[in-house]
Amino acid sequence: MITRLLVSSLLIAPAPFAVALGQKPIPVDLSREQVNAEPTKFLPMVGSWIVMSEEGKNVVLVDGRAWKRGQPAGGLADNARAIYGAKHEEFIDNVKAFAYFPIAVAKDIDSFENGEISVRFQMIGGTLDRCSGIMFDLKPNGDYLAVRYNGTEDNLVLWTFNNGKRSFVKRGTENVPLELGTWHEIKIAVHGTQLEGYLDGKHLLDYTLKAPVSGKVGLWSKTDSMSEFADFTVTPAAK
Amino acid sequence: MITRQALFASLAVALGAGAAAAQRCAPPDTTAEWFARQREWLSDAKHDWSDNAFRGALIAAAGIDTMRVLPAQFGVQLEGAPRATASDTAMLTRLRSLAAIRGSAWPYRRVVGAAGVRAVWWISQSDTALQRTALHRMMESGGDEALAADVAVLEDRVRLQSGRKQIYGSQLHLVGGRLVPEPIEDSAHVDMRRDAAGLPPLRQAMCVAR
Repeated sequence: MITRLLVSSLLIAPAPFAVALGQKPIPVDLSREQVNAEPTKFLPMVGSWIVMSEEGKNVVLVDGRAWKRGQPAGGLADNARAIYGAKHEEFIDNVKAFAYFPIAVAKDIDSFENGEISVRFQMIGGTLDRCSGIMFDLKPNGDYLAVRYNGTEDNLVLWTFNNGKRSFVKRGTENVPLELGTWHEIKIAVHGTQLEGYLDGKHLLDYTLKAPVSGKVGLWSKTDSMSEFADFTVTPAAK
Repeated sequence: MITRQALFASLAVALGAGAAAAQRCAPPDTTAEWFARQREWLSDAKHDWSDNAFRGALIAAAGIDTMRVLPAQFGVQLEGAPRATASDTAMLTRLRSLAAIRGSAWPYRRVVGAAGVRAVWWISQSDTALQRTALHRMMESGGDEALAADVAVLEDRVRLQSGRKQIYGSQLHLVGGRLVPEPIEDSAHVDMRRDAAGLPPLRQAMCVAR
């Protein structure tokens, strides 16, 4: 009897993420964005971000050619105010400490806690770095987490950014060289404190976070990287 | 094996030897921003360095004439390993020793000046392992300490030696008497990458090389 109950409970309890994913995916729609202008769906905080057309489809380019060390995006104050209102000054101070790392915040995603985030990207270049990533758990004080692919190291890595300090957390289980000018996908899955990272559908990263995530999300890059992003999609878990 | 003179023909051309080629096609615009940025970076008159003895040894080993302005990097060179000269040998040994020690004081621009850094770039191309280390050190150090254009050319060399395609189109080879680039990864964006590295468009640079 006990065995039968155990088996039946296993049958109705599939993998945690499969259970958790129940809500409709929320894609960040770039189709109405103005080409050759800053995106309005992603608010640039650091770096130069611009909407480009790739084979008739709008994508967001982070253009490291315009990157200058320690310089946040020109519209930082306005964009920070747009997402954090009166709390934006602390955010600005912290973001300036991370001005090595271009970020753009998804304007219409209020808070991501559990579920999946995916984005397609293609690396174009960068003399010092070739990075593309997903930023999540962005707090009003500017702290955040990022899972990113680095084309000069061929790896997927989780980083934390706390109080003006970047810290390495965990590297993916294997290096995966990717060619420039080809499209790939990074995906993260979060359930409570459990984080999984995927590159092109391959599960490369597992980590137990210190606390559940709750915050804004967006695009992440590094120094002079040039990368294009498309199909940023948030799929919240069922509450 | 090719001579250092052939490998760095592009640099010589930059000093004015390419007038005939320039008449046949449009050479790089030396009034453009990339050229000004390189000139600024390469000018030792505007920057200090901390180890003059090391700098002097590097410059002597590489045969750099500090009485002349350091040539700009046009970002095209003949693919192949330059021959190490007798004067290189002692310096190669010293650089290999530095490369072997993680965290060692690498000859960056703040240490040996622009001429010293160019000498490291030059000498390291005689040694496959050393140029990998030099490339990593240059990329880690950032644009203040390493000239992005030199980094780009070195990365192309290292990639080709690893069996990968180049990404800046800087490595050329002769086919039937014509210079053509080795295969380029994502050739559609090659000039965007060259622009980011402070190099002229590939077509213009090829014009100079020819």
